[in-house]
Amino acid sequence: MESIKDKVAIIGMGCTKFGENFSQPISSLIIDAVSEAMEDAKVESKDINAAWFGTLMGGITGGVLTEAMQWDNLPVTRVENNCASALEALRNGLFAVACGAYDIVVVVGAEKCKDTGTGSLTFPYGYHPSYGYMQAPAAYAAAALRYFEKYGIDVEEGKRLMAKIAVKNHYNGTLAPKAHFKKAITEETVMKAPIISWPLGLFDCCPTTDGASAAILCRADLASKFRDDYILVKGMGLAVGRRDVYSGRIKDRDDSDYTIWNETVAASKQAYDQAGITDPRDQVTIASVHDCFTITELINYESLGFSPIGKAKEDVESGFFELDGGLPVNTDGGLKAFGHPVGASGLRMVYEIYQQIQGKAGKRQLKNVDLGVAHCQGGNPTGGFQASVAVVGPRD
Amino acid sequence: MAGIKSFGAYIPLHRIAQKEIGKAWNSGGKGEKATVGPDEDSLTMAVDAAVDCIGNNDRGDIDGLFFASTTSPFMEKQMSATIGVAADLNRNISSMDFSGSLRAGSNALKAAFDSVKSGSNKNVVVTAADCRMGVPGSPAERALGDGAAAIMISDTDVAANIEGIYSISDEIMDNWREVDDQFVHSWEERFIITEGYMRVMIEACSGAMKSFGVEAKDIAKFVSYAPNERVYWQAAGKLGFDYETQVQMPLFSTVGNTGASFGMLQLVACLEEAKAGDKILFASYGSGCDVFLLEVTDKIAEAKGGKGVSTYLESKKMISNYNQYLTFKKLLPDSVERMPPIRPPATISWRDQNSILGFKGSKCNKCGHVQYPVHRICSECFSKDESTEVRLSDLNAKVFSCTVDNLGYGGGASPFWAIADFEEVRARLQIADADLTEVKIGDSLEMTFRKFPSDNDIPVYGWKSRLVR
Repeated sequence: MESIKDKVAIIGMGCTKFGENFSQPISSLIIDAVSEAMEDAKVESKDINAAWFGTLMGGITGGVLTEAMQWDNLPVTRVENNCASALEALRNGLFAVACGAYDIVVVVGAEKCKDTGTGSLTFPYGYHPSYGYMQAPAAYAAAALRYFEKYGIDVEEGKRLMAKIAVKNHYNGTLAPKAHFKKAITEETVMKAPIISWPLGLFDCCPTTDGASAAILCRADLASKFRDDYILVKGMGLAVGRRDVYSGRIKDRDDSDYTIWNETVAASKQAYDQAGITDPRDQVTIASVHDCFTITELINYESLGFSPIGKAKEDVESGFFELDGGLPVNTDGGLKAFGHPVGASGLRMVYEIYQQIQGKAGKRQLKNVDLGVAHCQGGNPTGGFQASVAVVGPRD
Repeated sequence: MAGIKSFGAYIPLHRIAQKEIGKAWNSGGKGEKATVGPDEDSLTMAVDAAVDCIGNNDRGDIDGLFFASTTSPFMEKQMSATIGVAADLNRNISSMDFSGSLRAGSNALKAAFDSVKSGSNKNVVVTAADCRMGVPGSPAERALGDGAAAIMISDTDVAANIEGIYSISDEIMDNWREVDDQFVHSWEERFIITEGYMRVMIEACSGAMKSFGVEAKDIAKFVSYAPNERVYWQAAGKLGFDYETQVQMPLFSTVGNTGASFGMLQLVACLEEAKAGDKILFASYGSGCDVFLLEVTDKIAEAKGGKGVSTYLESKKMISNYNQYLTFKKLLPDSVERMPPIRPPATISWRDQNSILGFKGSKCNKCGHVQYPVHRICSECFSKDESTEVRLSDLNAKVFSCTVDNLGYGGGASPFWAIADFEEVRARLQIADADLTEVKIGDSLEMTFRKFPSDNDIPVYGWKSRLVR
């Protein structure tokens, strides 16, 4: 198998203001994100060869994108992999460009979560009674209790640990103009918030957000025609679990204790191998990781190889993942503060790393940004994940 | 001779103190009554009672399942067919629903007895349940409780022979409920007791004893339905039974009047304490009366296996206030606006009924790996279409993790989720009737049949777990 490393460049990106965009339909969010990306790349509609559009609930077929952009007869595919839908659009566009089929493609993610009428990823959907109807907050709460149980952390101590992550991400959000929340919070606020699903309180959960994000991709050898500071894709992984990982023999199954996200481990291994990353804690300089709940980010530190297994607590307490830490995570606020329009989040993550590499991240700008990781994780820990990991970095 | 081979019961965990109801209506009250939770109804109670009754009896030997209730969740759709799948009985059972009368339970028992005696059936389970409601604030609201009882009628190894059955039919407008009314109504009490219950009960029981050739002194226990405790004792007294020794202690102040299942529930309680040789006179009431003479055999000890009335009566949780009771009874809407799950299509419920209603997993014939729900491909050895269905509904599990989903739709309560470890398989299950403070990792769970909420209130049924009762 060949590696995807350095074959495809990102030459333009766009992202709407994330938030409660009640007045904007999905077409309007798509127009804003795609237009910003095309202006950024200095390409026009006529230059686009193909497109991929990721969304969970934003409509079916690629026609959602062509309708918004008034494009005729382009090869457009709508893709869906739950919260990883935007990275799935990126993955599809990326491989199509890498194989030489297209020169320039657009990849887009968009979602109108505020049109569902529910909060905290509790969308109504058809269900099979035998699979239960366990919503994301409850499933992640069950994982939190297992994590605390396994590592001997009492629940109050665990809640404080998760609170530190919420405080970090909310602070980072205050520095990101397009974030859903731009308000710093304290640990006490997090600790005293109403309980959504014990032990997860309101501030342990990401908000319900509308937004869209987009990227323009081209073959790496064409990129310098468009701009000097393009970035390169270094690796791309995807691992889709089974809906029934919670079933099965209990003994000898490490994937059933919910304290490590196995699909994320697998997806990151694929991406790291392609990118030549052997020590992610040391080599990765910035990461946007899935933090639909604070416990999600905590366990992801370990699943992505940033912290040794069972040791994320020490890194949280030492500030390792803060803006001035050894490996800043969710520098724009993450899902927690920037918001989580499900199908748009993956490209929003890449957008943050793109800006950081280009030195355009304003008050939250990091120094010496090199390899960055964007990670999305759809599904939930008691029912199988769709985990996607993209590694990007500056041009040579 | 045909008779009762085994028996079981179900009484909801939740009880409300009569004084809590009294508080809401500026009056007092003594005792308590059992009430369904938001996920229970007559079907769910009937399944749990049937499973309790069946116990370790071979389910393959059961060839009849009769359901009796005046509060079936469906006017049109046979519940005994649903119960047959939930209780994992054969397809070739005789399934029948009995309704429309407080005598539906004893009517079904008589039909089962006649069927077994005629040789048409060998083992018939009769499961009766009711959850009737009185208008809030009315005496009926105080009197009516919820519960179920199940009795298996068989022609071999019976724990109590049915020596005779004597019935009379009686037309009277004493209690009634019209098709679109959710509340029970009655004519004034003096009339309905004097000319209804008391007259019919005395006439039927006297006639029955004469017909059976027994006298009051021959009877070890008199067990009957009655609309309330006062007339229960009065009728027993008029028939010549000694209050102290010959009358079954009634369940009015602990469970309440459970309608079509009430007589059977008291009979089950009576059998739980009976000894070989006891003669029991059992009488029901409702537009007439069915009177049964039973004689307990030496198999009675083997028949006492399940939880029965004694365990379910003792295991209880008090509802904290009247508003919670009204919410449980769906007389107040759920106070939290939530999105209900979309009802699964009838096609899915049909083709996956063994997983959903029967709580079956699949066990790989090659490697023994168990999966739930049923899967065609084994996740361990990947063999295809090489599995056997295994029933999980009568197994216990342990809590691996759990939480209450305060945003989830529970149809009157927030869903309480557990990751439950059975010996061979793990499942994502709700824990019924529990609060987060009551459950911890490692606790034992047993299974209970419940109703699931859906977007248009058409009931969807399946299995949940509960703390062991």
